[in-house]
Amino acid sequence: MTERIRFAIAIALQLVLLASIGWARFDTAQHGIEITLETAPVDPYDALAGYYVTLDYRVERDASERYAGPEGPLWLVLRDSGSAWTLEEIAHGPSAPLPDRVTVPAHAEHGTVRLQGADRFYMPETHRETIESALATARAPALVDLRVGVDGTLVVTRLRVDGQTFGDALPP
Amino acid sequence: MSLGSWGFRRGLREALTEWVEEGLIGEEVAEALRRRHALETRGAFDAASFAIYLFGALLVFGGLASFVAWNWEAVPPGARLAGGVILMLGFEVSGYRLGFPKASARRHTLGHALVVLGVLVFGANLALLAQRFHFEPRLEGFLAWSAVSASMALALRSTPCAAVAMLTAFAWLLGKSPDEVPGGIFLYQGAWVVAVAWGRGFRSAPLTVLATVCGLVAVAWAAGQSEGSGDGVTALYLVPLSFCVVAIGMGGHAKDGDVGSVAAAPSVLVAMAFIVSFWEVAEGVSEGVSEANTLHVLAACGPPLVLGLLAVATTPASKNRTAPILAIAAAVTLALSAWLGPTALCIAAHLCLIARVAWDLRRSLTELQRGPFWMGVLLAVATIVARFLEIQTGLLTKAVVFVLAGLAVIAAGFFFEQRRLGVRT
Repeated sequence: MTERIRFAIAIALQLVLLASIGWARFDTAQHGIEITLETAPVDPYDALAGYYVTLDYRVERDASERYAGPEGPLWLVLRDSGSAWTLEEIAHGPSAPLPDRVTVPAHAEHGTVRLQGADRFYMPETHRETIESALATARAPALVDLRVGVDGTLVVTRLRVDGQTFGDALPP
Repeated sequence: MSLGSWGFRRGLREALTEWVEEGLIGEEVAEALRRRHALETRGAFDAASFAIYLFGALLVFGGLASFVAWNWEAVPPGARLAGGVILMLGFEVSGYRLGFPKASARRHTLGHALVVLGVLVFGANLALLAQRFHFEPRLEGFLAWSAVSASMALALRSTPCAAVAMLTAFAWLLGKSPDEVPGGIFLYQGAWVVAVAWGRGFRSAPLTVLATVCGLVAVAWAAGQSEGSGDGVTALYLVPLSFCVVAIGMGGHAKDGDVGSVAAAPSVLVAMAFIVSFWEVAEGVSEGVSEANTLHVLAACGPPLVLGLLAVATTPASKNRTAPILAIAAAVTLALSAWLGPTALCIAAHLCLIARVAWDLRRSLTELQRGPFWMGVLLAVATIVARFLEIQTGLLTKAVVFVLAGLAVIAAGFFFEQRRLGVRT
């Protein structure tokens, strides 16, 4: 195999990996079912991707209290309950989404249940202080809008705190 | 037909020009020798120039990463990602076209550095994806980055890409707990062996040393996750320092041909000072040392210190004693300051680094030697960059500082080389 072909393979591998990591999330962000969850965020920093808030969802806390099974993957069935979706039951496999019910992937470890792939919200450095101050003075729990793909892929789209919205613009 | 080692060819290339100027050989003979040893092709690979370009590329990447982290909302996320992919492909394809197919040595060094920069920008693109879709990229990101760097390293026989592949693989491993991965701590030990084999496969001593250090850190970290005793931290910190004291002391007794076996000691000492110059590391080391069993410490460090000092005392009068005495003093200061607390340790580490930079630059400017000049410049810049990473400053400030530091290194190298050239001609 010549050097030119090996180089072309290395280039192709990069594009395939970037596309495969991004595609499911892109598709979910475009076509997934939108849900809203209550959260209690804190804000650390990632040297490569910047400032973000770690999202600690109420459905995760409820699932952690209810779940007593072995560590590993599981599924949370969420139901639309008005302003935010709430935990209905814990399942061992996905089920077809209904207008007011979705199944999302989670993982149980060390006595806590965490949603998979929806644990942080990145923010521009210029908005950091605004978001921090909004979170510190919020009178109601912060809300996070997410999209759920057909395969359970989760994509965070917006963070809402006391009427202020951060992230993607709300659909008309 | 053997082309000869890189060092031999570098020396021959410089000598040929002088021999022709002095009339010892004709231009035809010189040209035949240049062809015979492939002195003008990429096989001649100028490591000094490559180090300049590579370090510049690393700093430019630091600036780009900070720019990505700044998360500039004026540019839509899709456009940012498209820009990142175009930048990555631009660096890699232009680097390949410039430096790889039948390129001269000079074009090869620049082209190679551009390819490495492209591989680094792949990591920045992963961060952009994570920003766009708000996910934690560590697990899939570092593994993907490692796979991409490894494929580029194998495609172009690129040692820097091989180093990126290894570092990102270890970064992934350090993001996991030994309890989470199959095989537990044995996976970390296995990774150590694979990394050293990877370094040997590329026939690169620096890569093999890097693999050894990364493996040591990974295994120690994995062991510390479950146990973490004061003796463990103390051993990891004081044993290499003790090695330095003995090796530095023995340096004066080495014949010129044997110096290589002990010449690494001052570099290990500088590396130790650099590591403990980070506040969190200094805190961990100080805490571990204060918890350690004093008898164990004395048993581990006493004999090497006595041995090192005896070796210096019996060094032949014809050899220089100032440098080893200063180096041993630095090692002892670094060791003792750990007991005084993290502030004292941090200050001692920075004093050691400043002293080394001053020593190297003074030597390089009086003797016009490349080695100490680059060691001094790179150490100074690495220390400044490390502090900017460690201390909370605005991301735009970081981006500007990194890019300026990269350009300053390239400019300093250019002027130093010009000065060398001026003196030689």
